[in-house]
Amino acid sequence: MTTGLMTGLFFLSFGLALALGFPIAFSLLGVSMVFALIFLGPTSLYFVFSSTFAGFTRDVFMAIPLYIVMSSIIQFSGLGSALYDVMYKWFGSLRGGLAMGTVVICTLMAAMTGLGGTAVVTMGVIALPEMLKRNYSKDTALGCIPAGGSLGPLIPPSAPAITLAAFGDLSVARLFIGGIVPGVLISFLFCAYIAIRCFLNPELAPALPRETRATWHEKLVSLRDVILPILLVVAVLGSIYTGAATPTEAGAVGAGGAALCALIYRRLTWRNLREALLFALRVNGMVMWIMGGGVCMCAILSATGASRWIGSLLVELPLAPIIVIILMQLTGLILGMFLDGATIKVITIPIFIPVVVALGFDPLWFGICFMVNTIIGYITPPFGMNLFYTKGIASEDITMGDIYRAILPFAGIEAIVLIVCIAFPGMVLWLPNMMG
Amino acid sequence: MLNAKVFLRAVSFVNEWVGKACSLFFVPLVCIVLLEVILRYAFNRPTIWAWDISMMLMALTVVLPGGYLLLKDAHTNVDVIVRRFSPRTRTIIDLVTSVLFFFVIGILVWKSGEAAWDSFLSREHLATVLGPPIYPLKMVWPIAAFLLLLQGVAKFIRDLGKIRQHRRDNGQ
Repeated sequence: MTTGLMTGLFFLSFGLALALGFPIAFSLLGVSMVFALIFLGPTSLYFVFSSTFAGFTRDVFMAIPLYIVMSSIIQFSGLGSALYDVMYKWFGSLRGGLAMGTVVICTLMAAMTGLGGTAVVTMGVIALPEMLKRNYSKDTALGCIPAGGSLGPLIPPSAPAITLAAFGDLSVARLFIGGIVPGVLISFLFCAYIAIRCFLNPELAPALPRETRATWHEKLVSLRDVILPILLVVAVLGSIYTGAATPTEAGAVGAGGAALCALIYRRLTWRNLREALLFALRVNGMVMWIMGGGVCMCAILSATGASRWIGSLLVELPLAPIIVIILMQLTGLILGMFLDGATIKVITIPIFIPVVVALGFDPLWFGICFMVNTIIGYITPPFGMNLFYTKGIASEDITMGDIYRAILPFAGIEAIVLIVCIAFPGMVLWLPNMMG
Repeated sequence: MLNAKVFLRAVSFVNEWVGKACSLFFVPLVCIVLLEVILRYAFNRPTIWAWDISMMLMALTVVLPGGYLLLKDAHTNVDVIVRRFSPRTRTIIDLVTSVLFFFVIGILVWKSGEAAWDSFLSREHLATVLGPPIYPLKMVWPIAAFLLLLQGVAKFIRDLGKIRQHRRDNGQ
């Protein structure tokens, strides 16, 4: 059997297992094991175990549990509601102000957590009912929360960037810094979109009535509540920037800091902590089993020569190199509709990055574009993590269809930014390259 | 029938308990990494043990709760297609795909057992400055894989029960 046929069969059976609703982690492990058994012989199964074991104990993956614990502590810490109160007082008097404020808070939370769901879960509980109560239209209120949350994995710190770095052999710090420009740009465009739309049609998101607006005195006093969140951002990003902590260790700095904030806000109860830890255990276990399966699959794909086969196929395509790059990004985008970000990176990045290098492009640039790419996957139907989180939090009368309609313009904005990032590598690369 | 019920309850109980216990490992994990940062940055005295210990804690928080995750249905899957099917069809699909599950976990139990035994015989140590023994961690693996296997058997029995229940409902 040729390598090509085998590779085709491999991905076909993997796709079949996924389509049948078989857990992703066991699909990765199972298909790898079957192919190892057939093409490499029974002795290779020992190697299957040892590569899975190595996957679970790899240095870089230490960041994942730490980041997840950090995020799950932030969820109950009270940081979200403190930020929301300030935003309410400052932006409430603008048309669409609460929606723009939600985007701003999500951006800030993205700078203290590394996951896409944290801001959605936190802001969904606080901001969504408030906006609906203030007569915001459904799609204005619903869109900004999952969209803002999707900034979490793009703006550093970022757990997905660590996965990308691990599977693509890239620098974590440079990927972190590289996410800042597209992240801030997307956040700005979200706000601009909301502002313009609500300016043209005030019905969508009316400003707060005059008597409920905050006075200047109240506004200034409320700024006190921003101090703790800003300090946490400074602690997490500052510790990475000054080299006090590695990007991995910054997760522990954030978790410790968030626990301290929770203590100050009097939310650090035994019950909250126990629930947060169990939540972290489930999320971490899910992600890490996929990582372990991914490491195992990579090992089998390279031992059977399948990765090399796909790589040379892509390099030798009779197309302009940039078209191949765009095809690879499109693959990520399409997979993003059905799979979660971690799985996509685990499957594609080890194959794509050598191709990018062989075609003469900067793998860092490709990686940053791919990060933008996967956050679009977080908010595109039918399988967008953030949409499910939003549905889980929203009241009964909000359907999945409402959420799909609300999110589309935001997904469009992210797609435009992705195109800009691909078209102008200089825009993406100047900041990480300044690090020297 | 009674034995099956006792088995199901026992497996759920054990995995629930293991999961809850493992979630507590996050506390020392965060504290150790934080301590290492403080000792290194503020006192310029990095430890030689922090990394090894936290790596082992991390492995424990992932491997041991494998069965707990299955119990809580937390191993994500893609349900875009299967959610269109009736619950009965979905259960049948689950029963069929469980062949692959038992294959995967069976190999994990077998090979991790072999690796643990080899590691134990040679009293394997980590190749770090501290060089702590690694064989106890490797011996956790077959136990964890076995817990996952038990939970898989429990799910299989439950799915069979659902099908039988369905047939009984339709028969009347």
